[in-house]
Amino acid sequence: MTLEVVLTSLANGVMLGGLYALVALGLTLIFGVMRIINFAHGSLMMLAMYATFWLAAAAGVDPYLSLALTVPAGFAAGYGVQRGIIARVLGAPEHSQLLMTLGLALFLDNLALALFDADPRTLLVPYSQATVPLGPLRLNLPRLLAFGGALVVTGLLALFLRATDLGRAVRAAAEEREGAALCGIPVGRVYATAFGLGTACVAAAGTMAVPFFYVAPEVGGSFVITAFVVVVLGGLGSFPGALLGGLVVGVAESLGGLFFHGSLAQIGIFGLFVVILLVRPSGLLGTPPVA
Amino acid sequence: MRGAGAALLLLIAVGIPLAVRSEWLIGTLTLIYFFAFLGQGWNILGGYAGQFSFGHALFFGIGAYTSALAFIKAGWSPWLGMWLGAALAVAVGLITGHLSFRYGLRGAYFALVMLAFAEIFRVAATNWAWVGASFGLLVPLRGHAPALFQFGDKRWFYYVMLALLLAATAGVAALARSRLGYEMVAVRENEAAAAALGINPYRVKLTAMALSAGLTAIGGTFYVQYFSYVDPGIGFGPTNSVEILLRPILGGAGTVWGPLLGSALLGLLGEATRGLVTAHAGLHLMLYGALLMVAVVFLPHGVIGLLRRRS
Amino acid sequence: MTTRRRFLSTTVLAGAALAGPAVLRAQPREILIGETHPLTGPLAREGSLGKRGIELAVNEINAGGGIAALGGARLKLLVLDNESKPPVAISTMEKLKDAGVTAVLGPYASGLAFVTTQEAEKYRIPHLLDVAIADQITERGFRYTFRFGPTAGMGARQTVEYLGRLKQELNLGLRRAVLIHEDGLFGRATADTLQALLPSVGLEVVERIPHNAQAPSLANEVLRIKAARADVVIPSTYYPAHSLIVRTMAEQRVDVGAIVSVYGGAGSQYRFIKDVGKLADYMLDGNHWYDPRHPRVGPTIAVFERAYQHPFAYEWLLAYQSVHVLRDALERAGSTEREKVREALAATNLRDQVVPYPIAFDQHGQNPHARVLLMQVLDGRIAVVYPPPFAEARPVLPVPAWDRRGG
Repeated sequence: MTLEVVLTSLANGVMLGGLYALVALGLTLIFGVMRIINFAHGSLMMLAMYATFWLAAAAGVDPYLSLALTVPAGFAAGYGVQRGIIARVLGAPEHSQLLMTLGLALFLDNLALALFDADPRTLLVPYSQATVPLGPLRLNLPRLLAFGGALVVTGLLALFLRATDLGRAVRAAAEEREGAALCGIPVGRVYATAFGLGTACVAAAGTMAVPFFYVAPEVGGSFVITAFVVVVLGGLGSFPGALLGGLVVGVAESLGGLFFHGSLAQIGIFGLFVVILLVRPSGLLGTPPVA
Repeated sequence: MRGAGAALLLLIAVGIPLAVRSEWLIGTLTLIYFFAFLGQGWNILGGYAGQFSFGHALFFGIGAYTSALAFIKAGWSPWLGMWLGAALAVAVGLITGHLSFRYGLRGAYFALVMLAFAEIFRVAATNWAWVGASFGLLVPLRGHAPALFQFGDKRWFYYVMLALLLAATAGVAALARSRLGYEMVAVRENEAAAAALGINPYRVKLTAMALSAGLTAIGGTFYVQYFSYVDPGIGFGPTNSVEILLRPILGGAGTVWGPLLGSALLGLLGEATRGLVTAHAGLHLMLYGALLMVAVVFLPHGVIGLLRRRS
Repeated sequence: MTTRRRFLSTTVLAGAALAGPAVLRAQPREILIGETHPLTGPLAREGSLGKRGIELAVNEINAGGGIAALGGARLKLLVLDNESKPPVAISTMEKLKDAGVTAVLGPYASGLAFVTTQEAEKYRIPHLLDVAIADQITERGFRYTFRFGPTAGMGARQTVEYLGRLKQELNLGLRRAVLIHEDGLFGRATADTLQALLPSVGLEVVERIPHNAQAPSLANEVLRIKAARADVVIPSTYYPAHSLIVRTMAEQRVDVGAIVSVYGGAGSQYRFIKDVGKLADYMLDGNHWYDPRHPRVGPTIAVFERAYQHPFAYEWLLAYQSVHVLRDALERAGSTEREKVREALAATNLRDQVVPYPIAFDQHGQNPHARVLLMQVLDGRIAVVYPPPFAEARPVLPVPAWDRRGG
C-alpha cells in the first residue's frame, strides 16, 4: 500500500463524493420543501442517463454539451411530475407519498426496461481514458469534470435560492410551509419548482456520470440508496449538509474499499450513518426538530 | 355482520385445497397469506405505533437464517428453531429500538436507520462463511417430514400459513382493543401529548418493536422452509423490506384487516398483470407500478379507508 | 383452477386442429415443453437470449418434421417469465406442472436453478438446464435434473489447466496472480477453486479482491491490483464490473501479463467489444463456446443473426443445444410420459454436437465430459486459442502494455 495508491483513492473518493452530493442535493431539496422521500429520484437520474446516451450514440452530442438539454428537460419533468402526480397526495399521510414515489419508480424503471431492454450500455468518449496529472497522481478526466460540474451546479442552485424571488419563496416554503402560504407565496408553484430543481440536479449528475458509468434500467437504484444515506447524514433539508455528506460518504467508501474487502466498506458506511444519527439525530448540519 | 362474513371467508379458505387441483392457486394463496402475515408484523410497529420501518427484512432474515442454521448445523427441528429465531429477532429489535428511540430518531430518520441496520446484516451475512456467505443456505430436503417442518404436498404449507395468519390477526385485533394498543395509537398521533398523559413513549415503542420483530422472524422461518433456500439478498435485502411494508400500507396501516386486504389486492394485481401482458418484458411490472400510483390517489388511507368512507 | 388447465389444453388442441388442411389424415400431436426464463429483471438480457435460442431450435426441429418417433409431433413451447426472482420461478414451475408439460427448459441463472430443479424433483418433471453453473445444483441426488454444460468448478479447473499448459508451452514468466471477484455465489466459489488450484501450475495468488457487484467505481480495487504488481489478473464477475475493471485498468495504466477470466461477465461477449472497442483486445476467457470445427455452427449463427439481429452469444447457444438434447431423448423414448423421457435423458449418449464435447449424464445428472474453451479477443474477433484441437488462432501472451496498443 503506497502513498500514491492511498492518495489516488482519496482523490477518487472526493470526485465521486461530489457526484453523490449533487444527487443528494436534489433529494434534500425535495424533502426539505415537501417532506417527501422521493424514491423515484434514481429512476429520473437513470432516464437522464439514457437521454444522454442516446443523444451521444445517435447524434454524436458530447455528454457535457447535452447538459444544456437534459437539465432543462429534467426540470420540466420534475415540475410536471410534481404537479400531475405528487400534488395529489400532498395532504395524505406520509406513507401514501412514499408509495406514490415507489410506484413511480417501479413504473419508470420498467418503462426503461421495455423501451431500451436490459443490456447495460457503455459510452466511450474520445477523452474517456484521458487523465489529468496532479503531482504523482493521474486523475481520470471525466470524473474530474463531473466533480467540477457538480460544484458549478451547486453554486448555481445556491445563487438561485438566495438571489431570486422564486428561490427565496422555495426556501421560505422549506422552512415554514403554512407561514409561507399565509404570506401569499404560491405554495403549489413553489413545490413544483422545488421538485423541478431537484430533478434538474439529478439529471445533471446522471448526464455527467455517463462517460464513466454504465447505463442500465437498474442503475438508479445503486445511486439512490447512497443518496439517502448522504441526505440523512447531512440533515434532511440542509444543502451544505448534502455537500458535506456527499464528500464524507465518497471518501469513506473509497478509503474503506482500499483497506477493507469489497462490501465490508459498505458496512462502514451504514455504521457511520447510524452512529452520526445517534449522536446528532438531525444529521451533521440539519436543524433539530422543534419539540 | 362482520363476523359472518369473516367466518364465510375462513370456510372458503379452509376448503379450497380440498376442492382444487391447481398447484398454482394453492401456491399463490399461500404467498398471499404469507405476505399478509408479514404485513401484520410490520403493522404493529408501523401502523399502530406509527414507527415506519424501512428495514423489516432485518427481522425476517434473522428468523430465516437462525432456524435454517439450527437445522443444518445442529439438527434442530425448525419448529423449535423458529422460536430461537424469534427470540434473536426480538433481542436485535430491542437493541435497535433502544438506540433509535432513546436517541429520539423519528420519521424518515428512523425509517432509514432500520434500513441501515438491515443492510449491515446483509453485508455481514454476505461476508461470513459460516452462514453460507453470498451463497446463502440450502435446507437439506427430507421429503415429507412434518416434524421437520417439511412437507411433500404444498397443501400442508397452505394450512400452516393460514393458521399463522389467523393467530397473528387475532393477536393484532386483541392488541388493538388493549390498553397497550391505545397507548400505541396515542404515541403515534402525538408523542408529546401522550407523554404528558403519563404514557411512556419509549417503552410503548420498544414493546411494539419487540412484538413486530418476533412475528416477522416467524415469517422468515416459514419462508425458508417453503422455498428451502435463503441468501443475504432474499433475507435482508431492501426489496424484501419494501415488499413487507407494501401490503399493510395499501390495505390500511393501523387496522386489523389492512394487511390481509393489501396482500390480497397486490397478490391479485400481480397475477392479473402477469397474465395480461406476456409479450413485452417489463410491461406487466410497469402496469403494476401504475396501478399502485392510481391506488394511492384513490385509496389514500388504504382500502380500509375507502370502505370506511363508504359505510 | 381446473378451468385454467382446460383452457390451456383446449387452446393446444384447437391450435393443432387448425394447423393443417382439414383432411381425413390424422393431425400429428403437439408436445408441450415448458420454459422458465428471466424475461424481466436484472437477468432479462440473458433470459431473452435463452428464449430465442430455444425458439430457434424448436422452429428448426418442427420445420424438419418434428419428432419422428411420435409421428411427426411438433414441439410447442409454453414460455413463462420468472422475473429473475426465485419465488416467481417457483410459481412458474407450478404453472408448468399444472399445464402438463413433458419437460422444462431454462432457467439460465444458478440462483433460479436451485429452486426450479427442486420443484421439478417434487413434481417429477425432467428439467434440462441451460447455463446455470453452480456445482451444488447437481450434487443433491436429484433424478430429474440434467445439466450437459460444464460447472463452475469444471470451468475453473480447466481454465487453470489451460493456463498451466500455455505457460509451459510458451515458456511464460508469469508468477503473481491477483483474483478479483464479485461478492456473490459465483464469484466466491470460483475464486475459492482458483486459489486452491493455481499454485499447482506455478502461479502464486498474491492478492484476492472481492468487490461489491453493484459498485459504481472499482478504482480502489484496480489500485490494489497495481500495488500487488500482478502478472496475471483473474476476474470472476458479471458484465458491468468486468467491463469497468478493464476500462479502469486502461485508464490507470495498470499493465499485466494477461487478464484471464473464468466465465467472465464481459469475456467471450461481442457486446463488450462493441462497447469498448480496442480496450477489449487480448482479453482471455475460459467459457462456454461452440466447437469451431463443426459445420453446423456457421449456418446456425447466421440464421440467429438474421432472425434476431444479435451476434453469437453462448447464452443462446446452450439453450439451443438443450432443445436438441431433449429432442434426442424424445426420439428414443417414443413417448411424452415424463418417466420415460427421464429415463431416455439419463441414457443420453450424443456426439458431434455444436458444443465442443460429447453429452452423457452421470448418476447425478451432470455431464462429466463438458468443458470450457479458452478464447482471446484478437483484432475485434473472439477466437478460440486453447486447447489445440479447437484452437483457431495462436494466443498473444504476454499481452502488450496499454500505451503500446494500437488505436
